Formats: sequence, C-alpha cells, structure tokens
Amino acid sequence: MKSLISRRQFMTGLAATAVGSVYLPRMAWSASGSEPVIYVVHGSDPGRMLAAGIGRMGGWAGFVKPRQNVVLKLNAAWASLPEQGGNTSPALVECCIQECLRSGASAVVVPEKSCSNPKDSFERSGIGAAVKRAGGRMYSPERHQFQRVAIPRGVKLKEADVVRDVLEAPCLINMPVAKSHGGSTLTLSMKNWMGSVYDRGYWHAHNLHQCIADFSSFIKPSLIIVDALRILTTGGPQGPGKLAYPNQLIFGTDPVAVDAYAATLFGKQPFDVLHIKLAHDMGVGCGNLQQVRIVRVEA
Amino acid sequence: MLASLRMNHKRMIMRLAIVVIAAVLSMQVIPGLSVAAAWPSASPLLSICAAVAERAVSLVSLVGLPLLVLALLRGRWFCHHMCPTGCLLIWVGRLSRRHSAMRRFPVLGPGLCLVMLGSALAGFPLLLNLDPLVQFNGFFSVWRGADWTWVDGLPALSLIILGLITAIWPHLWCERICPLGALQALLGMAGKTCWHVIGRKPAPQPVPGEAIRAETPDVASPDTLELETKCPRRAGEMDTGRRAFLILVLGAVLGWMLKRMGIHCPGPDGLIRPPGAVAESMLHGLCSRCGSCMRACPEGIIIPDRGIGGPGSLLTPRLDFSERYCNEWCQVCTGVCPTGAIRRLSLEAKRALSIGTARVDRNRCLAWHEAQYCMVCHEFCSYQAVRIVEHNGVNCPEVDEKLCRGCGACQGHCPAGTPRAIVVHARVQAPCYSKEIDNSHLPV
Repeated sequence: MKSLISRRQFMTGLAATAVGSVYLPRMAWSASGSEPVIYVVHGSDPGRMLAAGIGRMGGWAGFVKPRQNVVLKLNAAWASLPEQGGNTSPALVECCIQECLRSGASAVVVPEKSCSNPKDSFERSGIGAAVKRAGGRMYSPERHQFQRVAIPRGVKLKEADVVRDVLEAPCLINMPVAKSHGGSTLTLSMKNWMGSVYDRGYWHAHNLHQCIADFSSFIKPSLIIVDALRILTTGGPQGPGKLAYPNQLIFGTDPVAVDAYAATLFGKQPFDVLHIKLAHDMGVGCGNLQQVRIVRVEA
Repeated sequence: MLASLRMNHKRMIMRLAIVVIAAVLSMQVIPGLSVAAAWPSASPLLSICAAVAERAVSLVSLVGLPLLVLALLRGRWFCHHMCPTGCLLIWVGRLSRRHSAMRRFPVLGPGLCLVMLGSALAGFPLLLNLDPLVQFNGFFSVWRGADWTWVDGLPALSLIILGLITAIWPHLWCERICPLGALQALLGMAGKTCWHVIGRKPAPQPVPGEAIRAETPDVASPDTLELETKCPRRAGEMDTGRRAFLILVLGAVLGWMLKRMGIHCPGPDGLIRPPGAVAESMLHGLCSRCGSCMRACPEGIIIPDRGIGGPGSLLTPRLDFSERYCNEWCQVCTGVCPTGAIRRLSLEAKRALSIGTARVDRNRCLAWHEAQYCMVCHEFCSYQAVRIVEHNGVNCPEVDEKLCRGCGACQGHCPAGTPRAIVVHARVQAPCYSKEIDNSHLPV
C-alpha cells in the first residue's frame, strides 16, 4: 500500500511546524526577527548608568553616525522643577548629548513642543541650561516647522503634523520620563511623541490610547532610553505628586517592550495600560514581558 | 554744530526725542522695568487722583512727584517742552489752516481737573482717560502680536479722536480742555502764591479779560501754546474759589453716585479680571484705560472689554482664555498699572490668588459624555484643582473649587470644541489655600 506521505516527509513536516510555531510568533514581534531585548540599568549616577546601558547595546557607534545629526526627543513639557519628576532629568540629558557629540555627531537637536509656556518649561526644568551646557540646540517648534505625514497603519490617527527634524533625523533618540497620567494612565515612551506633534487635542478627543498606538506604528526611534530615576506615581503628568525612586534607566529599541517593563514600576501589568495593549495587538512591538529578554545591569 | 541749528530745529529734535522715548516706554520695549512701564503715572493728575481714591500712596504714585514739583515751580513748563501728546498734537495742528483755537469754546480744563479730583475724593475717580499721558500710552500700547483684532485697538481711539479734533481746531485740546495742563497751571499759580507769601510779597493778580501767557512764552515760535486763558468775569458771576469748590463737590457727588451704581459683586457672567485687580466697582473708576497691562501680558490674554460688563466697564482689562491662559510663573501685569487698579503682587501671592473658578459641563465633556480618555484639563492644571473621578471605566474631571485659581489653562486646551466643556467663571478675587492648610473656617 502506498501511503499519502512518506515517513521522511512526515518527520520533516513535523520538525518544520515545531520550529515555526516556536519562532514565527517571535519573528512577528520584531523587525529583526529576534527576541526583543531591553536593558534595565540600576544605579545612582546617570552618566555611569547611561554608559553601562549603551555599552551593553553595542556602544554609541551603533546609533550615532559620524557627521550626522542626532535628534533627541526628551520630555520638557512642564514648568516644574527637576526633582518634581514632571520632565526628563537634566543630568541625564546633559550626559547623553555630551556622549553623542563625543561619538562624532555633528549636532544634537532637541525640538520640544512643551505644554507650559516654552520659556518657563525649558528654564524651570533645568533642561534648557543642560542642553546648552552640553552643546546641543533646543527649540520650541513653530507652526511652519511641522510637516504633515500620513500614518498608514493608523486606526484613529490617519495623519499628523510632526516636527520636521524628528521626521528627517538620521538618529532619533526617545528619552521620556516615566510618570502617571490622567488620560493615558501612564506617560512612557510611546506617549512621549505627543511633544513632537502639533495638534495634541485631536488625540485626546479621538481615543487617546489608540492614537498613541497609531503614531508608534509610524515613528521608529533608533534608541529609547526611559528615565525612571524617579517616577511620579500620582499627580502626573505635571506634578507635584507622590514620587517613587526606582533609580533605573530602561534601554531598548522596541517601544512596546520598554513601556511594558516601565509599567511594572508603577505596580501595573503592561496590558493594564490600554495603549500598550493596543500597540502590542497592532504588532508595533511586544508587550508581553514573558517574550522579552530583560537584561539587568548594575552601574 | 548744535549751536548752528536754528531754534526751531532744536525744538523739533527735542520733541521728536520725547515722542520716541515715550513711545518706547509705552511699547514696553525695555524688559524687566515694570515701574518704567507704568510711566503714565508720571502725570501728577493721574497719581494724585489714584492716591486720593485709594487713600494710599503707592510706589507708582510717587513717580508723579517730580512733575508735581516742576508744576509748582514752573507752571505749565511740561506742556511746552515735554508732553509727548502735546508734541504730537503740535505737528497734527499744522495740518489745519486755522491758527488758533476756537475763541468761543469754553475753557473746560480746570473744571475737568476739579471733577476728577472731586470724584477721586469720593473714591471713584472719573475721566482718568482724559489725561494726555494715558491717551498717548493707550495709542502706543495696543500694537502687539500677530493675532490682533479690532477690540485690541480700542485703547488707541482716544488719541486718534484727539488728533482729529486738533486737525480741525489746533490748540483746542491743549489750551482749553486738557485737565493735566489745567492742573499744572493751578499748581503753578498756587506755587507762585506760596512763594510770595513766604517772601511776603503781594501775589500778582491776574488781570481780568487778558490772556495770561505761560511762564516761558516763546513769541517767535508759531506753535506757542496759548495757555491759561482766563475768561472775563461778567457781572453777577460767582468768584473763582466758590466755582471751583462747587465743581469739586459736583465731581465728588458724581463719583459717589457712580460708585454706588457700580457692580459690587460679579454675578455668574461677570468678567474675569487680571490678578490683583481691585474690586469691580472700584475698577471701573480707577482704571485709566491706558492699555499698559494688555501690552505687558506675555500671553496676550488681557483684552479691553467691549462693554460686556456694562457701560462703566468699557475698555477695562478682562481676561480671554479662549486660546491661552494666565501663566503660573508670571505676574507682569500686576507691576505696570499706573493707577493701582491692578495691585502689585509678588509671584507667590499671585500664584495663590484665585481669579475665577472653572466648571465642567458634563454634557459637553468628552470624558463624561463620550467616554474618551481625555483629561487634558487635569494634565494642564498646575494647582491640582482637577480631580479624577471614574465614570463608566473612564477617568473624568471634576473641579475642586477650593484649589482652582481660574488661570484658564484647562479652558484653553479643552479639545471639546466651542464652547469648551470646561470654562472659567468669574469670582471675587481671593487667596486660595492649598489642601495642607486647613482654612475651612475662613470665608472663601
């Protein structure tokens, strides 16, 4: 009797299915096809923590190309003091810009559409001075410095006016501060892009969480560094509120994985934060921490 | 070089310089000099009226002291040489073919001046806008920003009207109407009398029916101001002192009446005033409508009232939160008022002051009505006055009226369209206390 398939064919098929069922889902989560990795650096000195994290990721040379601009999207949205946790830590910003310039970047540009008056935000947050000391250029984008782009995979957000420098950046670094938020539950790396778009009101009025996920399906930062040195657990995003001190920096390239980990610092499950769940489901990244390799580093 | 210049040219250059300096002060080009921005208070008329009405001499009212002394010594010297409005009007007056003011037009200046002083005594100064320095300031302070509307230009109107009058009847304003000129003339006469009393010499009596020229007349100049014209006293007319007293009383009665008629307490539709503004009833009188606060506001949210708050409130400053809001870290407007209608406040006092109360319209709110994850108001509130209430699984805003300062940050950013779902309503300005301090026993 001649069988439909031979034993050898069956065995080969079985092996292929087994390999496929294990690896294919993982390949879907990240473009490179490998398991997403995040580096969680714990320490006390932002400079050393930054060096340790970047060192594990292969050094600045992997991100910063010589004689090219670096665009740094930090969070300087509010006219609140560094110790209040409403903005990215100025010490971290200063170290990062210095390192980028030392690695051969021609300039570090820091566009930030703040929520409070830009002058007060840049001054009181200490970031304006930090950027200046480090040799970067910080500015509040005017209307004409935004460019309309289509968000092809957007569900609610089909197009957005985005700061031109952010769109054209050869190296784009996202450096948010982790904090609570009344509308988006938490402000992490994906929410941080709201400081680079012109019409934030549209997002708030058209399912904020979906818009955050939609925009993340479009924007691809070269590097994400979440400032979780101190986190606002209540009273965010502006503060003042209750602060916790995880003393961590979270490095990664997968925004969903980075945010998923950062959410745990607030005692939340990643999918408690709706935009992490939506972004995960859209395939922007992997929000399931069981499928993320978390490398812990002490600095 | 300078000596070779003709007298007319020298005077011309000096006037130009004065107009430019005054315009620079009005436009508040020099940053950080808030007392300089309150320069209309250099007018002794304005500072006397403000100090009398407020029953207090403030730092700003002292700015009027030098000119007060100058007027005592030299009478209307300022009018000839330093008044920026006068300088402008001289040039405008040359457009007219007439050479002098209307002869039959009554001399209103002293009367207006006395009405202003009388009403200030009653605590409600009237007609402060007639001060020429205020009018000059009003004209130059309105030119600002790209998003300029005709309402913003209203404070400029009085100088424009003055220019039109002068283009038809030159010198009419300066000689016969200007209350500041009249005050200086009165002060000059008083000074002279005092001088003669001290020196035990008889004071010079004005000759009835003759025009008394100013102390430094320049006959050669075609634009010499003919000042202090005194009408001949007809038979049966009251003497000057009695008339002056009666006009003063008239002013006081008018001021008292208008103060009583004024709105003592803003209702639900009252106007939101800049931080530090005096009570509504007082503001209508004390505000000279000079436009300094509107010019000073870096956010451009102070706009002149078009009469929404009643006719008495016309051109007084009100806040417009439709686009921007009153920044937590700014108190610039409180430092530039020449009359003290907006009191000087420290940054701490301003941050603690509540100028309004925000209210959420749940039928328009995206969170309450459409279950959106919005909370922009909560995000923007610098004072933790927006509380989070969970409703249908979505965070919804609620205003804590004890903490709300009425800064308008929530209103300007509300994405619910027009009208906004969260709107600031007027209230009597009062300090707001944070949660840490128990102030439940204090009236709010």
